[in-house]
Amino acid sequence: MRASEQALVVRDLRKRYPKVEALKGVSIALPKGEIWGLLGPNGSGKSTLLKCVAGLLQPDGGEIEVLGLPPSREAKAEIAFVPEVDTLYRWMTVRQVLDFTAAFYQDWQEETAGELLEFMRLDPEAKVSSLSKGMRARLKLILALARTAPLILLDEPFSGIDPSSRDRIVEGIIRQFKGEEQTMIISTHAVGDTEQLFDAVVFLDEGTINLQGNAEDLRTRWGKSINDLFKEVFA
Amino acid sequence: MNIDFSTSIPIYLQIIEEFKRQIATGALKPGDKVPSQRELAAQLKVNANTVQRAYREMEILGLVETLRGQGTFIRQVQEIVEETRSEMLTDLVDDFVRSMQALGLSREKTLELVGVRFQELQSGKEVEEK
Amino acid sequence: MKRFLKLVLKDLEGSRLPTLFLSGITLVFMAFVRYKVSFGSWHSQMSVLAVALPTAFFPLWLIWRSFQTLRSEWREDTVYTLLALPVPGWQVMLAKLVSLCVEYSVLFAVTVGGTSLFFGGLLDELWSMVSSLSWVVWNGFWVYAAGLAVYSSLIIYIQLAFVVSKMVGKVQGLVALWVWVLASWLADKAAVLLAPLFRWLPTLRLHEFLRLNELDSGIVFEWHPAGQIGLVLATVAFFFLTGYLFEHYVEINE
Repeated sequence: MRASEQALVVRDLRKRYPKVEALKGVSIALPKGEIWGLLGPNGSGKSTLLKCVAGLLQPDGGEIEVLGLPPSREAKAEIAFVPEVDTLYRWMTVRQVLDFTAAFYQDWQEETAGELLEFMRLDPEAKVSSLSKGMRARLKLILALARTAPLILLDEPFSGIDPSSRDRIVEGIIRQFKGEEQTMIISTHAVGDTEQLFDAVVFLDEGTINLQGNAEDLRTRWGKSINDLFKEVFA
Repeated sequence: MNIDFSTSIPIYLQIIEEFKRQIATGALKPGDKVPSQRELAAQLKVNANTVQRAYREMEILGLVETLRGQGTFIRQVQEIVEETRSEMLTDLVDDFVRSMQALGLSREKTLELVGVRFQELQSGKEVEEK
Repeated sequence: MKRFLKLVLKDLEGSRLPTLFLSGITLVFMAFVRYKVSFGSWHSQMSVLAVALPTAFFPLWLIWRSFQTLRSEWREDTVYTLLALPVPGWQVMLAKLVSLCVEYSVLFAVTVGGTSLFFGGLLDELWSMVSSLSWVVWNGFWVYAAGLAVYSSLIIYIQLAFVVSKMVGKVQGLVALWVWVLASWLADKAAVLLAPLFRWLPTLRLHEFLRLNELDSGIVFEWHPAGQIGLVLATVAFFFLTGYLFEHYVEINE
């Protein structure tokens, strides 16, 4: 398969922190147009992998190619990364956050942003510091979905938020995801009812991949839901 | 449309089964327009590729047809409806018969019980209507 | 350009509250001293204190701010946003530098404005020494500009030290200090090395430029720039080095 048909190629990626080896040689290849679930318990290296791809961490070994590009400013322009932590400037209003982001990414769709704002029930005049965790999660998701970025990385978008925000986020992802031109990775440590989002899943355990494949194939082969499989693997 | 995804059956098959069920019960009639793939995906909170696969399979099975620029429709082929319906009925009866066999009931006893329950349920319904 | 402006506006917005707060306090303090001198028991020499205190405090404050604007990005996790942006690292650093220079300018204006507003009348003696208003404005401007140049270079060293310290996992404070010392030493070496190359430059007669002879014809203030050119070039090089390191090597905290 030609490299350009892959949205993301990671080869033998290694990353070591002072105290722990977070990634011990991870390789994945994401075809364009798919949504992948990056599954594993906390501390399995999911977040580290996404941060390396987004250019927020420098790998100690291995290769990363985003649409054929090595980690670079050009690659960053193609990526929409939504980290788990709160990364927004607290003094900004929702509107200011959108305007700030819009200035840096040429693929920003103002109209989509407006629709998403309404769908997520966010007040554009509200200050970030006054938003609940669920609302901030919704806002962060808008920043990714209002762009037509070829690669979207969502790090734990469902963790620790209220069920209604979770529902909105799942529906927002499905409505906005443009399969013809976009590819998405969603990391989560609690598969739950999000498993129907994924075309394929990767199970990451202590920095190593121990299972990956097409979600429907895995269901057929193991006779289990991804959630049950996840529970079994990480029991 | 409501699907329980916690089972081990591939999701696209569950979607097809649900369409078959609705066709057989008459909830979906020939010529009815079905939701767009994106719409159904959002409604079921399911990956759009999965819905796409379900629709593609349904087209191959002849359950639906996609008219360019107009959408996807339930096929106006009565035999497919009949076929689907009889398929479902067979499945339901099979399940029932297996359950009865598991309880050790004979063919005669089962049929007798069915006759009694049929009567009771029907008269119960009449009472309700009155 | 639009991107750079957004970055500057973001940093300016972050500067706004602390700068307004400090400016307000300073002006209130000046007014208080003025009130005590005019209607209270304080000696008029206390006015000097009202001017000297902010003048002494502001440089420390500004140095702390240049460190703080970077540190807060890491502390509040907004560095995730910054590092994910597809912009050159030097633009992120320049935006902070510009914003800090605005802070410097505001505080300079507060000092000058507050002083002339509250103590203008008391400084009559000083005024009598000065020949004209245009002289004051001219020299005031060059004091401002010289301060700005010194402060900008300080910011550049602080940024370099901070960014390098963020590239290591531990003893970040020690690393920052070490980088600061090393960079200063290197800049000094560069100045010494390059000085012979610029010997041909003329000696600048600054006492004429600054019209010092209008005060006293005996003042001579001359300066040969050769020794400082290496310093400036090294500082500019360090600025771009910081930008490069920020873009390619710096990580979020983990």
